[in-house]
Amino acid sequence: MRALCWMGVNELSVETVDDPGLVNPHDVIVKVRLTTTCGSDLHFLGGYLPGMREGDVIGHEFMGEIVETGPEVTSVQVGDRVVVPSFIGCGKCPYCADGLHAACDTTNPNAAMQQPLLGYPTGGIYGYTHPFGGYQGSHAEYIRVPFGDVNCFRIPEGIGDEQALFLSDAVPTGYMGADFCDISPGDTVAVWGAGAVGLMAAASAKIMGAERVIVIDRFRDRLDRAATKVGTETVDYTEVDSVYETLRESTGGRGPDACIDAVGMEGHGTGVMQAYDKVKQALRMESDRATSLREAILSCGKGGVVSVLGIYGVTDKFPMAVLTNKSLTLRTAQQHGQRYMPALFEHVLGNRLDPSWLMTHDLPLTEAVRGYEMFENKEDDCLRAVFRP
Amino acid sequence: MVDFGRVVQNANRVVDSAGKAVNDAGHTVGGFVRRAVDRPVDARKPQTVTVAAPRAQVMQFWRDPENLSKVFGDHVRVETVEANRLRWTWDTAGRSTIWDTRVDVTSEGLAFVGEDDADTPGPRVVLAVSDAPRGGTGMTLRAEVPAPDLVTGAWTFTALYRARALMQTGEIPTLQGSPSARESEGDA
Ligand SMILES: [Zn+2]
Ligand SMILES: [Zn+2]
Repeated sequence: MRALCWMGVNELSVETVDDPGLVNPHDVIVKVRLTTTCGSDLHFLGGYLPGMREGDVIGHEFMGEIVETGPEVTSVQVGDRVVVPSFIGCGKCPYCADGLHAACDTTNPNAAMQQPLLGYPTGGIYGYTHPFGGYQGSHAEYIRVPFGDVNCFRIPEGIGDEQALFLSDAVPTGYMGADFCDISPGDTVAVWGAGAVGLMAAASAKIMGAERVIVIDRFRDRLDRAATKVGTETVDYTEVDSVYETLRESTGGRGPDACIDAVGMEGHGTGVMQAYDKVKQALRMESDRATSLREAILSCGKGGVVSVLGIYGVTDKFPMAVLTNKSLTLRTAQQHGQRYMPALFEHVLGNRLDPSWLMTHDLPLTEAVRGYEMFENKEDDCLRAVFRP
Repeated sequence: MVDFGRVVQNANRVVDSAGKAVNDAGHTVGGFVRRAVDRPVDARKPQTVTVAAPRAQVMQFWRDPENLSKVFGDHVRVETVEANRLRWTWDTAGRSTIWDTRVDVTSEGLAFVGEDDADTPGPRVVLAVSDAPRGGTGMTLRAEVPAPDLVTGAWTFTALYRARALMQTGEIPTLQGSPSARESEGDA
């Protein structure tokens, strides 16, 4: 089959690789219909996240059709149109039982690679470095999904492929970030980053009852989407002296009730901290440029929640004293999509949420290299490039 | 509050040492993440995981050589040579290492003890089982085998991880047959 492979730092190529087959009794093979780029792919593409090997098939957000099931799969069948969360759950361990599927104790074949760093390894994820499992990614014609009963969600009638695709990762990640904020009616929520995840966090915060949602970014087209598609206020951080002061002054001097960081270590910013981070990152001494995280912590009102969705490596200059003295709660996770899928189907069916507009570019898989180039450089206002294998 | 003066100073210092740092790439590439991932853990240090299975089932699981071959990795075979006698065969880089052990049931669990070292503190793989907090059975494994370069802490941790997966779900996570599979993976 054809698949998009990582061939080295900043080097992708569409290659012919072996088709996946059933290996374990709970496996399912999905014929991929749609698969999309994700900002977190840029971390290993740029070499900031180690653990890729030449020939790895990348991609972790996808939907498709089941074409084969293992002998012990019972709840889904061949022909089902399904969406699959990017982290793989087993459904049996205590973490899956608690709805923390990304922390699954079972699904990471390379758990021992992660243990020295994390102490307790995460579950596996498709197409996202070997410490995270080493599984084949979704930018391919077919993909093996372990524990099909737990990870394949049959898409209800009335939800289109393009809507379902983003329920794989971008939507549940944003939704979880808003869920972390314990939003009460009347709350103000600030969101750093108007990429797909940030926009979905903003939309989710509105669904959960936030009165004001303020989105911070520097790209005009993205801020426009936040305003027109989600109905948020916006701050272009290149046009204000200080995001913190802008937020403070627009919230009666109290600050937002919750702040969501949907940027992560590839973030851009302005000012001295940013220069410091960038130098360190260039030297691979620290993998992060944590501008947005520091700003979220500084901006958040007393007693508030800082919800971190952006992916960081190792961050220094962490403003611990600000968290402590303002009684802030820091919440973060990789996404537990399985936990939120039934609610997300309801929101889409109820017309409260339509993520299909995140797809700005619709390309055949053969043009995936170009798709990543456009996505990374935000060419042609690319928000998400979607590939059809 | 952030001390910007000191940050600028630090940033300058970082820039000054740039050349040195680049030359010293072996130590800086990937930073802390890579160093932590690369550091092998000593297999003699105990590793513990909890499995949702009763103690008797856990003991039975580890006495089955077929299970031992599955959980200990793709480069080692474990076979019964006679009752309570196992043969461990490592096939690495065209070289075979054979280790014969007794299987002792001990007060703490099981011990696979080298035949030649039965009565001395020599090479052995030791499994201790215990009642885990909040239920389940704690499995603690440590290993000292005749050729120490054959195993690291990753070997014992992987064996425990796989054993738990097999007992709880009936399967072991694998990359077998995957286009991203590599020979050294999912293995100790
Ligand atoms: Zn993603
Ligand atoms: Zn699990």
